[in-house]
Amino acid sequence: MSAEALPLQPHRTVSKPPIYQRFGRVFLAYGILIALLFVYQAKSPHFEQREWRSIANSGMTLTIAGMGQTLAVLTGGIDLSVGPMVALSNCIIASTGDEQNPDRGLALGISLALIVGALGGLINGLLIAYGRLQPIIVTLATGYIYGGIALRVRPEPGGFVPYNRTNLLTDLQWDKVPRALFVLLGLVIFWLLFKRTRICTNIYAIGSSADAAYMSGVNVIRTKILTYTLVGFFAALAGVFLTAQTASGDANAGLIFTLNSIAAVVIGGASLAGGSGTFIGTIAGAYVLALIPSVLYFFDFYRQRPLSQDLYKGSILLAAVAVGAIGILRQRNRLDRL
Amino acid sequence: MALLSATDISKRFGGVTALDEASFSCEVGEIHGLLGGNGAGKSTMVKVICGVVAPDEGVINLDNQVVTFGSPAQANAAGVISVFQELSLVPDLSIAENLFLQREPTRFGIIDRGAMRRQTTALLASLEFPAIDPDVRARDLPLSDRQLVEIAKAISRKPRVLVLDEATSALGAQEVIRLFRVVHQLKEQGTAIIFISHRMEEVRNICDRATIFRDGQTVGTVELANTSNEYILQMMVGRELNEVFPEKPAPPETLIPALEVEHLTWEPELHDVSFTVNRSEIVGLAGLEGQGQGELLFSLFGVYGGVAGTVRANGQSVMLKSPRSSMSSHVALIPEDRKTQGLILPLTVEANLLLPVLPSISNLGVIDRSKETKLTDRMIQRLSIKTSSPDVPVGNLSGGNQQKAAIAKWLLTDAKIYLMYDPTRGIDVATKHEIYRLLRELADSGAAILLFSTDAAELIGLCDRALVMYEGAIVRELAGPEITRENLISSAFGMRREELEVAIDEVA
Repeated sequence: MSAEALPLQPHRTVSKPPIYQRFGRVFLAYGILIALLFVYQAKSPHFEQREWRSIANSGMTLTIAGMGQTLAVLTGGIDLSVGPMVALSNCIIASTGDEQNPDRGLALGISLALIVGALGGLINGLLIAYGRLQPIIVTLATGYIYGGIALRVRPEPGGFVPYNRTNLLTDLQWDKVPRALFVLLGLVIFWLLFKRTRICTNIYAIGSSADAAYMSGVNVIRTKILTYTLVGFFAALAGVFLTAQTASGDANAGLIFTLNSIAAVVIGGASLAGGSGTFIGTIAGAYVLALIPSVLYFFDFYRQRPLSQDLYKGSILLAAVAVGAIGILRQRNRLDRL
Repeated sequence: MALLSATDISKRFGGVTALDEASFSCEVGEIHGLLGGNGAGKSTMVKVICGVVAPDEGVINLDNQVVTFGSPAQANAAGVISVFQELSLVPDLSIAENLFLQREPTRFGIIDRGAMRRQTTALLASLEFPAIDPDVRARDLPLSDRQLVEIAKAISRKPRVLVLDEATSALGAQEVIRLFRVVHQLKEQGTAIIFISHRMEEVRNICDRATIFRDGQTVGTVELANTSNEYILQMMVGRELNEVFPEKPAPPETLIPALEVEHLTWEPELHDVSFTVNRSEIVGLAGLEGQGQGELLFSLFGVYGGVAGTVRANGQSVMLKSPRSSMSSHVALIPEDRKTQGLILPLTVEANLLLPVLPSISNLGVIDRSKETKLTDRMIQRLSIKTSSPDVPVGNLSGGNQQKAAIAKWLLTDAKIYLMYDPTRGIDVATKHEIYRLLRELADSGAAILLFSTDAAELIGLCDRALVMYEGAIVRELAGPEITRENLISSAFGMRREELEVAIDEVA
C-alpha cells in the first residue's frame, strides 16, 4: 500500500446544528421570562413605566452577580462567595458614606468595594488554582470569611447612601426608560466583546476539557485565577447596584445571591459541568427568578399563605429547570440522556 | 544532521521505571518510527520530548542545543509539536476555535472570527483534508474527523519536529492515506517526523528508520528498508513470535444461531441490516471506520432509542431498551472507548470487574467479600492482567491490561453474545495475541462474537466470517478463505473488485 495507491472517497460531512438546537436552553429561558412578563402585565392593576422600572431593578443585582457566576460555572467551577461579596460591597459603600461630602464618600466607597471584590476573587482564584482545591469548598470557606468581614464593617443595617446619586442607577431616564436597562446594555456589550477575547475562549476551553486546553498551551492556572478575580469583581459591582436599590448597608442582604446566581446561570442554559453556557441566558435566568415572587404575588393563594411562598417559588424553579431538560429525552443516543 | 536527539533519558513514576536510559535521534526530513509494546516507553518518551513530563535524567538536544521544556507550550514555541494519543481538542469549542486556540487572529484584543473561519477552511483545503465546517463543535464530530482536525492543528503550528503518537489509530484507511500525503510533503520541506503506530504496515509504509523500545529501554534503531517484520517483532517482544492468530476450527456440522438480526434500521445511520451470528462463531464487521459499525453494536446493546427491526438472542427476542435489558438477553458490549465507556478509571480493578455482576454476588445488597475476591482473582489469572493488586485503580494499568479488564468484566456475566468494537486498538502485539486466543476460546466454548476491527489482518486471521459495511448497510459477506485483503478493501470502498484493480493500475 503506497500513499497514492487508493482513491479517496468523498467525505461525509457534519454540519453545524441549527441555532434553535445550539441555544435551545437560552431560548427557553427567554420563553419563560416572556410568559412571566405577560402574566405580570395582565394581572397588574396599573402597569406602566414605574412597573418596568421596578422589574428592571429587581433582577439587576442578580444579573450582575450572575455575570460573575456564569464565568465560574463556565470553567467547570462554582463560586459560593458571591453572596457574601455582594453583602461586603454593600456594607463598604454604605459605611464610607459621608453626609458632609456625599460624592467623595460614594466614590471612595465604590472604588474600595470594587477593589475588595477583585481582591477577594483573586484570593479564591489563587487558592483554587495553586492549592488544587475544589472551588465549592474554597469559596464556601472564603464566603464565610467575606460575610464575617461584612458583619464587622456593618454590625447592624444602616449607613449613609446619598439618594440623589442612587437614582442615577435605579430611576427612569426621560421618565420612560429604566436606567437599569442601560446597565444591562453595558453588561451585554461587555459580554459580547469579552466572549471574543482569548481569555474567554480559554475559560470555555478549560471548562470543557482542562487536559485538552493545557495540551494546547492554555495557561490553566492563570485562567482560573483571572476568572475568580472577575467573579469577585462582578459580585462587588452587584453590591453597588444593590446599594443603589436599598440605599443602606446590610450584611445579610446579599446572601441570597449565592444560590440565586447559580440558579440563574442554570436556568439560562449553562452546564454546571462547564464549557457551555452564555451570559445572555443568565440574564433571562436572573429576571425569571426576580419575577417569580412578583408574579405570584398577584395570585390570592400565594398572598394568603405567606409561609408557603418558598414552596411555590421552589416548585416554579424546578419546573423551569425541568422544562429545559425535556429536550434531552429526545436524544436518540441513550448515553446522551444520562 | 540530527535535528532532535534524546540521550539516556530515564523516567520513573513512583516505583515504576517508564524509561531507562533510552536514546534515539531524528534527522531533518526524516520520518522516524518508534516501535514497542504498550508500556515499553514510547509514550513516555514522546511526553518527555513534548514537555508534558520532565525526565529524571538525560538530555534533549534540538539543533545541537540542549533544551528543557517545562510545558507543552514551551515545546510548541521551540517547534516541537505533537498530536497526542489522548485527543487534545476541546469538546465545546468549535473547530476553528480549537485550531487557533492561543493563536487566535485578533484585532484590538478581539478575536476576528471571520478570519479564523477563513483560515480554517483554507488550512483544511491545503492539507486536502475533508472540508469540515469550522463552526461545528469538536464534540459533534466523529472520532476520525476529530483526529484529522487534531493533526491539522499540529501542522498549522509549523512544526520543525512533528510527533504523531498513535495519530492514525482513530483513522480509517482513507484518512490514513490523506495523512500520509501530508506527512510526505512535510518531510520534503525538512520537518522531522516522529511516528508511532501499532500498525506495522503503516510504519513500514512511511518511516525511514525506526527505534524499538522494550521495557523502557531502546533496543536499537533499524533502517526499515532492509529489516524484516519478524526481526522487528523479535526486538519488540524479546522472543520469537510464531503464529499470532490461533488456528480457526473447521465450521461445525450444524449451525445454531445465537444472534439473529433482521431489518435493523436506525436512520440515517443504519439501513435495513440483517445477519446472523452462530454459536461458536467469530464474525468480523469490516469496512472503513464510521460506516455504521459502531452504531450497529450500540443499537444491539440498547443504547439508542428509536431502532426499528427485530433482534433475537438465542431464539428469544431482545428488547432494545437499555444496556440492562440487553444484558438480561446475555448480550455483552466491549465499547470503543475503554477509558470512558468500558471502564471506570478511578475505581479499582476489582470494582470494575465486578460491576456488571454485583447483584449475583451480594445478599440483600451487601457484597459477599469472599466471592468478590475469588471472582476477581480468577479473572486476573485467566486473562493474566498485570496489576500489583486488585485494589489498584484500573486507570493505573497499561492500555493492554485495561483492555483485558474491560473484556474480563463481561466474562463474569453469563453473556453468550459478545459485541466488540476494535478490542485490540492501541494494544501491543503480545497482548493482542493473548486477546485473540481468548476470543477463540470463548467461541469454542459456545459464545458468539461479533467484532468490529480496523485491522485487516485481524479480520483475516481471526474471523470465521466478515460482514463488510458501507454507509450504514452490509454490502458484502465474506466467509472463510474469501476474507482477503483485496476483498475487504474493495468492498470497504463500496467498489467492485474490477474497479479497484483499474484504480491501482492507473496509479502504477
